[in-house]
Amino acid sequence: MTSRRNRYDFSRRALIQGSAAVGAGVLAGGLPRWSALAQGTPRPTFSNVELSVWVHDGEPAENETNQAIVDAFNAAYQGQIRANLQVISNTGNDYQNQVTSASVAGELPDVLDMDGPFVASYAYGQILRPLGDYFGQEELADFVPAIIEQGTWNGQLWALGAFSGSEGVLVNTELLAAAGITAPTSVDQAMDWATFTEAARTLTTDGVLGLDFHMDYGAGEWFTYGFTPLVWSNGGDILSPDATAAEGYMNGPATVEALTAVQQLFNDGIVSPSPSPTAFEEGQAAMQMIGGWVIPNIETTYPDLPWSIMPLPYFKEKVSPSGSWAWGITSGSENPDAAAELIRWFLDPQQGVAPIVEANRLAPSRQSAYPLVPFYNELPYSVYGEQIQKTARARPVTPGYPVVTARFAEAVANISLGGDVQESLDQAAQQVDEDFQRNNGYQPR
Amino acid sequence: MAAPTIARGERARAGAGGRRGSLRGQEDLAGWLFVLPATVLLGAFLVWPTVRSFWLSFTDYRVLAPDDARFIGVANYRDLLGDSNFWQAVRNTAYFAVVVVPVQTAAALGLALLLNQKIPLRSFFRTVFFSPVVLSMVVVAVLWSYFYNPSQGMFNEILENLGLPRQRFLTSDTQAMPAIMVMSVWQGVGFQMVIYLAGLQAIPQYLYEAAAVDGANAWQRFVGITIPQLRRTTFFIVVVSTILALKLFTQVFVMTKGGPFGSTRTIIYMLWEEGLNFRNTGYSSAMAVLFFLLVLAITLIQRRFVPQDED
Amino acid sequence: MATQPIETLEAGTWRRERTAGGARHRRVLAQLPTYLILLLLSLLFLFPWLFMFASSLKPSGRVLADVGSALAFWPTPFRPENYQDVFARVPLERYLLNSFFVTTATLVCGVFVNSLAAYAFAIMRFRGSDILFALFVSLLIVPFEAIFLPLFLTVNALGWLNSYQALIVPFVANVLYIFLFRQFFLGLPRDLVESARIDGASYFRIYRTIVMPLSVPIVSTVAILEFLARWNDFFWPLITITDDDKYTAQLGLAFLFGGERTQWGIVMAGTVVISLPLLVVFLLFQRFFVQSVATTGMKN
Repeated sequence: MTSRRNRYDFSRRALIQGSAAVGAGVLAGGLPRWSALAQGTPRPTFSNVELSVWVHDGEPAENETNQAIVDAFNAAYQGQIRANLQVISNTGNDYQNQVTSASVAGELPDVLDMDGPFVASYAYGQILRPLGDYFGQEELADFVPAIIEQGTWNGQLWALGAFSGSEGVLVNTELLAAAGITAPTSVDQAMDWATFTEAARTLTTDGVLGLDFHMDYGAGEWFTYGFTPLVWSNGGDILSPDATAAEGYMNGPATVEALTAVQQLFNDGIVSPSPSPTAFEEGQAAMQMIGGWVIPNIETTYPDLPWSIMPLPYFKEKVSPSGSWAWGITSGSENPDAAAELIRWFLDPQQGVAPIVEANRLAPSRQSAYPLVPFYNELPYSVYGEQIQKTARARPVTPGYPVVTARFAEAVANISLGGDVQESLDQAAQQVDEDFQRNNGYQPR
Repeated sequence: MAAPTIARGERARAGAGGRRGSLRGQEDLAGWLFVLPATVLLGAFLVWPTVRSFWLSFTDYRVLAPDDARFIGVANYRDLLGDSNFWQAVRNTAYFAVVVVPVQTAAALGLALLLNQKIPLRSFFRTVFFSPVVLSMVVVAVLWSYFYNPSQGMFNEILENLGLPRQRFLTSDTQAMPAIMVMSVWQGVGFQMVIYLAGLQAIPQYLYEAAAVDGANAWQRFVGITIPQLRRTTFFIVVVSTILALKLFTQVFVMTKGGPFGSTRTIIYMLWEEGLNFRNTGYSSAMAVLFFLLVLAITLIQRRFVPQDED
Repeated sequence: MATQPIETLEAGTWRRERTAGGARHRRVLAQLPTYLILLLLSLLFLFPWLFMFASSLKPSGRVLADVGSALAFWPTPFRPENYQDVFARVPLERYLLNSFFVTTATLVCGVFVNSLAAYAFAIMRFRGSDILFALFVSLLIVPFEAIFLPLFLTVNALGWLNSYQALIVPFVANVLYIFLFRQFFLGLPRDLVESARIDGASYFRIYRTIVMPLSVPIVSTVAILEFLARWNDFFWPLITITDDDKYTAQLGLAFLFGGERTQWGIVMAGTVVISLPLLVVFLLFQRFFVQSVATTGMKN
């Protein structure tokens, strides 16, 4: 561990200096400062508290920034709190599995990084402590609603994140211009489904797909994250509003209608069910519905690709997906107050949000952080930022989410391969409900 | 074998007739002492977890909240037998084993016969054929999923260059399992080949010489000497590869997640998904118990069909 | 394959034929088809390796873009820095050392414990041995995936999580290896043991001085099997080890996969680095491994 950290020393220092400069500039501009210090709340005093922190393994820049944030925290709380950050692998289900095993062993850290949709299952498993005692209403009002929604289960807030993913449509501007199509760049002008599919149809030529859904990721979280907004947009859902049943929702008429429309694109050869992983990057797809995580690679590996971004298309209502990793305090932590102090630091617009967003390019979860990250006011990121603030919705919050997403993703995969839409969704809904019944509806205990 | 070996019957006679009671007791003690470490370790790390798994299958144990577990009788088993996914998994697992075990065994024997000649570069080829075995299955499966990619993968490019139609491979419910089979045979065959090589070299040369004198041709010698002499090796290979085949998991986990249309869902994949991903420990334990019983039954059937010359 | 003259299979025959030059030429000609087949098969077995090597030496962005063309096997543009990067991204040297330690420790203990048990089952006759052996063999069918959770709870109860013991002790005793050792020991000449017994040697002395020295082939077999299984194990270290000072190389490799942002060139370099030790182990042991069982134990 130490050796890995040491390797980052140089760049880490550079980053601290960089973010300090950003912070100073903001202060000079007189923007509101949201840290606990600025709010004037008396800071509890600590003496030599050691905190263990788990964070998911991200891109190198993200890992380095997390370490830099913690280092800055440790410097600010010298002699009071010392946080030790540990990076945990996030390949496949690695992270979830490590949390599970550490909870059995009673070896969970004080502060736990969690992927949004899993928060409810951890709260249900009683390994988290509610955050309500530490974050007041006016402070929470600064967070975009979808992030609060993601961390709230059974009437209590369990996790808060500094950022949120979003999803848009990357477009190859050269191919669009050749076809005489202009891509809208704000939510107001988003294409409706008919316009969108017509454009995709026009863009489909021999050797170039009109649209790509990155189906090569395989049946997993992406399918749920990517396609649920289309279902919502059509007035459907994948679970009942109280998140206890799938029957009538996951296989309800609005859901079936939306996914039938999606299937049409596969049937017509506009979208490939098994695309090349680099279809868009290599110019073999004119548009790609995807999250912002692909952008850094495009910028570094495909600098010549002429691309832009447009907001998600919609059926009836404009909706976008949301969610990402979020911080929580474990129920076994002996220093929850110190843990809350660290989380507050991670969520502080200047100390936490701006630097991490600078590194991972995900949309800030706090309204007040947007002025601190200028690139979120420009394309392509402004599209994500606008969606997160205006149209974002959280995925269903239930401890049974792992089953919900697995079965729905499986159905989406089958539909993309020509499976009967109603039948695939009926089967998925039935399997989800069977699991919920086996677990007594995941009622809080 | 050419030389007399320690056959059980002879040992028993020697023990009963040739020794006195005290020696017998001494041998008992020494014998138990020798198997003690293995017995203790297997007891703690194999038998006890198995017993516990059996117990968990009658509860609604969930790993994040172990204290809430309740005894729920055979409810898990009842659900499982009514779960169409489970029966599909049983069929898929059987399909994989029924194809892969004979194909892999035959291919291994073929490779072993090719390499059982004194030819230059023999050990080079042996290493080459064995080399996929050293790769972790995760790595192999990741590589092959890109080879199998229908639109951009290597295999379809090759097919196209040969003037053959492109295939859907892992995205087709009829081709996904065969694609996994081909890859699995490729990855594992080198291992069986090496065991067959050892077996081939243990066949006494005079048997072939005598057959040659009698005018037997190569095929007759193969059928009349090689095959019967390899009976024990083959039995071993078949039993071990059957068990491995029934445990099919990693390939599915990496390449298809059980799809498309559930065509590659296997028992162990489903068990893993329910147990770790969905955290339905009790339910997955019931699956584990049924799996034990299934493998036990198959192993017993195999023992009936394959003649054994020992015990 | 069956059409090959079987007389040429054995070393003795080969030497006899070698004395006649003409026969040798005929032999080489007769072997041509065999060589063609072997070469074709080699390609079939090697292409993923070639892909791995080539990919490990090119920029990450090219790896998947090239997978459908002949370029997949050619490292261009050449980028050997992937190998530096992989060690910069994760402390792979430390993880390799951990893997090596865990694997070797399991191997050494495993060979001792399993061969000793197998020796008792094969050579000695003690009360209950038949039942115990049958019980052992029946454990062959227990799939690890089915018991990992209770096993995890056991290891946790012992306080071994996050320790090397968790990666070693549960895997020392192995039913398959006991079975393999026993099969081998049953093939040893009975006189060896009997005469040593008459000379008054203890059972352990016979095991140590007579049986084990004759067992190089089977020890090699077990060593290779064990090394492969432990070295390549991913799942168990993942759930038992969270302290990254004790990570194994496979866990380190997982850090290189980052979903959409996976740097394939670096991943391939890492894969090559952690796969090579296994190939070396095989090359070291294969001589003994494939060595005729007949020529070691059975020569009277």
